[in-house]
Amino acid sequence: MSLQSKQTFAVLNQMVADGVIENYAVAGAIGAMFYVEPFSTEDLDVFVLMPEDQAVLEIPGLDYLKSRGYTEWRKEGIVIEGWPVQFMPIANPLEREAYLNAQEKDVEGTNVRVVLPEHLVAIMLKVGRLKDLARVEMFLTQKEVDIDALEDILQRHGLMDRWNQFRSGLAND
Amino acid sequence: MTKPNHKSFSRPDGMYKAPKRAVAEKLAVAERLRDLQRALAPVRAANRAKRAAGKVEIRFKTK
Repeated sequence: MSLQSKQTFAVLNQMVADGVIENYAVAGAIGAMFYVEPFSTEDLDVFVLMPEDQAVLEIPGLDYLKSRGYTEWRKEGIVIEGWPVQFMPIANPLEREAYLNAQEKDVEGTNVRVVLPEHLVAIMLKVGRLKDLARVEMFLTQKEVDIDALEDILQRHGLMDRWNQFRSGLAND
Repeated sequence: MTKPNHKSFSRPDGMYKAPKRAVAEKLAVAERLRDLQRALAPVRAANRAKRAAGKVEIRFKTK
């Protein structure tokens, strides 16, 4: 099977190997698809750690990517092997925890660092758009999260209200 | 109304069980969906333009 996304992951891994980024963690819709059934998405979101002393927020490795011919932009992402990749600097303690605890997964021999399902769900609850909440439901109905681990995360990051609100919506279905 | 027991969502067989389908297979589906979405983008844009211009008449049958 020839997967464009596998080539995209290989470029990300090469960026880590070349020291352009410390590491990365795939999140968003593509991250979710490592656990739940596939759905439509147009881009690939990756968390990256930015240096603390960086005054101006800039995409890490932009020059590196440009020098390798990746110059096309689509939907706020730089296109790498067919996928617009959004490099998302870690913006809060929840995302930092998600980044630090991401796990290596194997896609046909290519390693991919992916955010854990419980962190993905916590982030989706925090963001709270309709599409995020629909995806939370996918994780729950497809039994892809450990509820105790999820609630531990939600409690530590002040998201229990969101969770209870979501659950009360489910109870009304 | 009795609330459902959401603990029942917990996986009984350990923390991180193997996905039902191979990730590569799911990513291939995502790529096909993405390509279809791109192919349909002009059609959707044309539909939106028609609706915005009031060129689409919506009439519901009630009988």
